[in-house]
Amino acid sequence: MEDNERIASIADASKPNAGRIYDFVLGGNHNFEVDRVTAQQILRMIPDYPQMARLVRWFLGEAVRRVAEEGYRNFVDFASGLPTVDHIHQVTPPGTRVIYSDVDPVTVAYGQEIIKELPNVRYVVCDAAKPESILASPLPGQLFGRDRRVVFGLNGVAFFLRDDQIAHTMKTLYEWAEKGSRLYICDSDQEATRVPREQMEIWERMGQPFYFRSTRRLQELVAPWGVGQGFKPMGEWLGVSMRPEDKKSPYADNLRGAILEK
Amino acid sequence: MSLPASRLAEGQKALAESLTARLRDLVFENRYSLHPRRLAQLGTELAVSFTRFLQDPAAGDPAARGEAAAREGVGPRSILAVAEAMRGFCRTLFEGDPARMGPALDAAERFCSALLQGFMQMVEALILQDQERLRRALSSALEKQSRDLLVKNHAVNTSINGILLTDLDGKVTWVNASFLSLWGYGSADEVVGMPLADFWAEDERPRAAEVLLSSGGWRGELVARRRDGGPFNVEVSASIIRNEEGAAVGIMTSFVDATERKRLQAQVIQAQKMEALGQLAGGIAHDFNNLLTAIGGYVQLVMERTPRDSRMHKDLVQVQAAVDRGTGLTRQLRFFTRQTAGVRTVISLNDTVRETLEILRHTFPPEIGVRLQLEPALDLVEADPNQLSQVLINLCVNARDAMTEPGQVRRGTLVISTSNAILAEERVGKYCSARPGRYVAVRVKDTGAGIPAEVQDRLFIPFVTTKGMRSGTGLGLAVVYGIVTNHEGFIDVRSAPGLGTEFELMLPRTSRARETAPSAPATGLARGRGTVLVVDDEQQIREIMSRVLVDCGYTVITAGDGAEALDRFGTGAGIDLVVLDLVMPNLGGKECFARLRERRGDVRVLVTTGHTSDGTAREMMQRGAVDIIEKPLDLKEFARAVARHVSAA
Repeated sequence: MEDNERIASIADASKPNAGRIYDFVLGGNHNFEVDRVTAQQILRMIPDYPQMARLVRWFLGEAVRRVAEEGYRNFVDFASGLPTVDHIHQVTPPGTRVIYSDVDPVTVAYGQEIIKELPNVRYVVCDAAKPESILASPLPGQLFGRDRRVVFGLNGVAFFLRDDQIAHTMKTLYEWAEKGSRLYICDSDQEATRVPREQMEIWERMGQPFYFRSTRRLQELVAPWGVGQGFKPMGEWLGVSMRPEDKKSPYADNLRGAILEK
Repeated sequence: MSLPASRLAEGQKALAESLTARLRDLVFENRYSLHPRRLAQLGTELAVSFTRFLQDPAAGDPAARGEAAAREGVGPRSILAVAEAMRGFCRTLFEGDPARMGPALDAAERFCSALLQGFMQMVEALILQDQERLRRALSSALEKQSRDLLVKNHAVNTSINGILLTDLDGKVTWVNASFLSLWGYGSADEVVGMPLADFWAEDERPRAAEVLLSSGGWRGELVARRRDGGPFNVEVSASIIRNEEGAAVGIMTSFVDATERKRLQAQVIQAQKMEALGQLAGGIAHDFNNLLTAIGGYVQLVMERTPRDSRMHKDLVQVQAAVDRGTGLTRQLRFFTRQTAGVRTVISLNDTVRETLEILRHTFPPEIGVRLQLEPALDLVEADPNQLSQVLINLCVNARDAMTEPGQVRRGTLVISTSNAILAEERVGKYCSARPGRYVAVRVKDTGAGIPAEVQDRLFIPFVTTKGMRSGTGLGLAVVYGIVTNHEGFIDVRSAPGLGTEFELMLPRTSRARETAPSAPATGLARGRGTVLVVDDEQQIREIMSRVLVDCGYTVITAGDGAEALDRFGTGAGIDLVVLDLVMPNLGGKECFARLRERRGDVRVLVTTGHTSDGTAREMMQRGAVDIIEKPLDLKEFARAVARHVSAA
């Protein structure tokens, strides 16, 4: 989709938009009535979508805090969404350098507005399936100097990428990064064949197909990155457990996250 | 009554744990912005704030605490659960102590009311703030989109390609300015709503409807119809316009006027054809040159040994005359093939016109009037006056013949005019080699029979003649073409049967001043003494040159190619002059010349060639060759040149 078409579709309050629906289920206010109506339809199919969305976002905060405690100060984050609260630059020590990116130019425009007064933070348009557009640009050099010991973020985006796209992204990042670099990622441990067709179609209709895969398959795709502590359920990372009444579908419970290592 | 600080302090830890547990239970009710790891700290902060308030209501600001909780992302159900836990804490802590229970619950109520009020106010403020941010972001995005659309609209509107949008019924919905210009309409209002069929030639309409409306994506060429009915060729590219759901809503068609491209293509093909003919004719002319040089040379040798009054001598004169005619023909062919550079000087074409007309005037019957219209301030050109004179002679003779019927003379007028011209790209663009700039024009116009359109296309091809067998070689206009093209000029023809013909020659103007004409060469078969190395791959030519030079008193060494020449030359000691052909097998003249110079830096080389226009001979002159003699050889001129350069050795 061209930028202008995307902008037009996001700015069009008469049609539901995946980004705004996501915002709604996270408890945000950046959505319209049409998004809320569609979100309710989705919630009927995937009742724990809000829980899932929160776990994904909290895993980001968790992973960033952990690597920041280890001393990492250079971050390149993909599919960042809006860097409003509890995002990388807010949970890391002052002076941490962050490149946020998103495929959606409206989100990027909005994000740039939010971070405009932060000298060590940038926000650029980039498709997580084509990370080379950032890596090949002058931006990493301008922000990190010659330091390529970085932390990459691919949080909550793997299920929107095909297997070949994930493999390409992982290889590209691995080849660019210095030894010791980290990469946090999460995905749903779910065999695609076991997902009801109508649930897949919901995402397809919103122009954002969902790609399900097992964690075993994901581990193959992230190679040659090392899996560190391994892919663990979100509850283990975050120290929370879902109440029985929160387990309305298997999606949230099946989320797995890892902090990979080069 | 004040509440006991010690009991509150004891209970604070338990309250913090209780609040944290509530917050954890409702973790998914909070906004994403509240990380689970923060909950324990938040529970403690709320417990401390609450117990301090119970002890001293002036000490805390529960509304501010509520606002902070909202900012952090505590959800409504979580904050209500927190308030409920605080009330429960008071009830439990002062159970059995009614004197303190009442004030404690009052204080808890005040705290919770303020907490919830602050919370709700902040939630409302955040909603308004987020909505305002969203509005600004969308407004900024729409503004950018609007700017981009404006640029794209402008690009489409001002595209040099004609662009036409139609609905699925083939009715025009939009056109750009180039479309109006191509089809000759004044405004889009005239066109919008018209059926697509109206824009195509009659027999092209079914095809246009089929390919443009039914296929959805098509490239090709169609014959269009202008508003005034005139046909023209357009290159078409059509594609379906689809809406966001992928349904077809119309057709976009882009057009380029193919007329100019076709004309240019024809021009290129014509130029290539003439070039191919030139190469063919050039090859023939070269071989004939050599043959005629040999025949003519031997005839001259035999004639010198034959008594002038003998029958043999008279026959030889006839042979020589035939050779001269043959030489004349090959010379003309070489003009066409542009193998002859000639001697270029700065001249006024007015002078050339006057001198040529002087020669021709007596060949025109009195019924044909001749008028000159010469521009007095005519610019100069750099040209070979003899070749330009040949051009004018050929054109004037053609004009005369066009105004003459076999056996009778019609009345007519020949007008020769000159003028200055400044030509733009539009005028010269159709000629492959012409460039925009200042030109001198010469027009030769007759009132003769005119030339049919089908003949005009092949007018300059050699041996194409409209004069039948009665006269003409078919080389006249080919020679004109060759000479004019060789002078970086071009020719236009305007003619129609019964309306006469006008040839217009355009030659580039020069800014150089006129030069003094060179002195006329001396006559006579010059003799001399010295050793001459003659190098030519044509055995007969070599033999002729050798015999002439021996007869003139020279010692002659011969070689059949460049390699043999180097053998014979050795160190060059004792060789006064090398007569060197340019085009030879094994080692060509240019390379041989370079090797000779390596062996003896002051070697004197006289170049002989049938191709003076390709630059090689000129290049060799620049590198130190003493002279160039053009083939077919004039033996007297050849002998004079040899004598001059041997004596200078």
